[in-house]
Amino acid sequence: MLTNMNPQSTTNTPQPLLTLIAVVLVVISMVLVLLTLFGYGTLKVSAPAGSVVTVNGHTLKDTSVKLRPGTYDVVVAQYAKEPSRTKVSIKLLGTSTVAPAMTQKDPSALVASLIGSYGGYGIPVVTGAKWFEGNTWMAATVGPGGSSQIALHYVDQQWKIAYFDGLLGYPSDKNTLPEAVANHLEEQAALYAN
Amino acid sequence: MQINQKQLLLLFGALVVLVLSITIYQNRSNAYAYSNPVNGNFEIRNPEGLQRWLPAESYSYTVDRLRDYIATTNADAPVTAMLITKSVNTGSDGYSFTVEYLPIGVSHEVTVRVLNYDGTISTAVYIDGAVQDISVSKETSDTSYSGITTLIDQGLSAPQGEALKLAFLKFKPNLSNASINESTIQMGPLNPNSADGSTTYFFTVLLDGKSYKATVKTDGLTGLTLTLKDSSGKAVYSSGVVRYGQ
Repeated sequence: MLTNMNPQSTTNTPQPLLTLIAVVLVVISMVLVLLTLFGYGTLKVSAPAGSVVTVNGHTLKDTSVKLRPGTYDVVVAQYAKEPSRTKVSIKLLGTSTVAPAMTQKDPSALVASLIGSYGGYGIPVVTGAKWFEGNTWMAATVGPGGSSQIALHYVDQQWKIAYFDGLLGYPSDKNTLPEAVANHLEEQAALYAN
Repeated sequence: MQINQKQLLLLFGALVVLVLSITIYQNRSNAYAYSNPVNGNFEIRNPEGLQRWLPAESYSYTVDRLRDYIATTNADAPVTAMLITKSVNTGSDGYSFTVEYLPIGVSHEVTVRVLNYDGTISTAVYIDGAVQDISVSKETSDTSYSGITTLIDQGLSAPQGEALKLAFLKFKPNLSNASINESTIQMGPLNPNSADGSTTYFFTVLLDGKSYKATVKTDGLTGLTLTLKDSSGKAVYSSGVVRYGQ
């Protein structure tokens, strides 16, 4: 309880302490309002062309974004690279930069994400993978338990099977492939034929 | 003690402003916070480790089974998300990982097995070793099945139920509807001297409206052979051994 220790005070006498408290409250309120309006930090992401960047599952439209202070999960994914996840701390009015060192996509994982399994042999194991035309084509041999050839093409923002002779139900005309891709498959087939 | 009334009003006003400011601050928007759905459609917060291996339909099916599982086993749990807490391991059993339900902190071991049978991809999800419903999905259309559960009730294993779907699709790749007449299901005589321990089932099935007499002979725990005869009794199809999960 606030008390007036001055015996001379009256009802109409201003109390400096109360005034001070009111001012402090107003200042705190203004700070909170300012933090609400302008309390952001900046996240900048340096990623390969064609990357999709998500922050806590929200896709970014730009490589720079203003975020509330806090910790965020930033995921950078690109069609030919392994996804990269980074935990980033954003400070008030500060700038944090994410520049992940991304590695080439695991060909076995890429093939598995399209065919699921190599028939009854289970999870595909890919060997002899080679990338073409700016990493938009990948050609390789698929095992285990066999030596089938596969060619994948990144088109319309997704990987598609352009050639696969390991299972029925997939394109199997090498004439539709770019020459370099078809040649690599021929080399792979010859390798396993010997 | 007496104090200035204007000051009291000023102090009260400042308090009101402060409370309002705190409320606004606490509820300030953050467009990039994790969403916490209340309708049960929670997602995996770190899906990329699983998505890099699984076909899209297998991934969606796995997430659905994980949602169903916690809804069944922890019906009142306020789950808002899932987290894969260990790396996805690949092996002969399929894709294995540990999932944690947030915020309740309950964890389960999960294995996903995917089988591609000539372009038809099927997915089985095992949670703590127990198989959940198995799906067969196709890129072009969905096939509806009825009566397979009754066969499973009569002794067919869940993987064999899946293999039966594959056998139907092998016979008719664009199959839309397979309806087993449950009242016609009969088990063949059990032969205790049989070396392979197989069991035979007989039933009538409608495949896209056309009736066939079907014979299913099991092969081990996961395989079977389906033979079909048309209404005249003429054999029209034999699948050979179709196996699920290997």
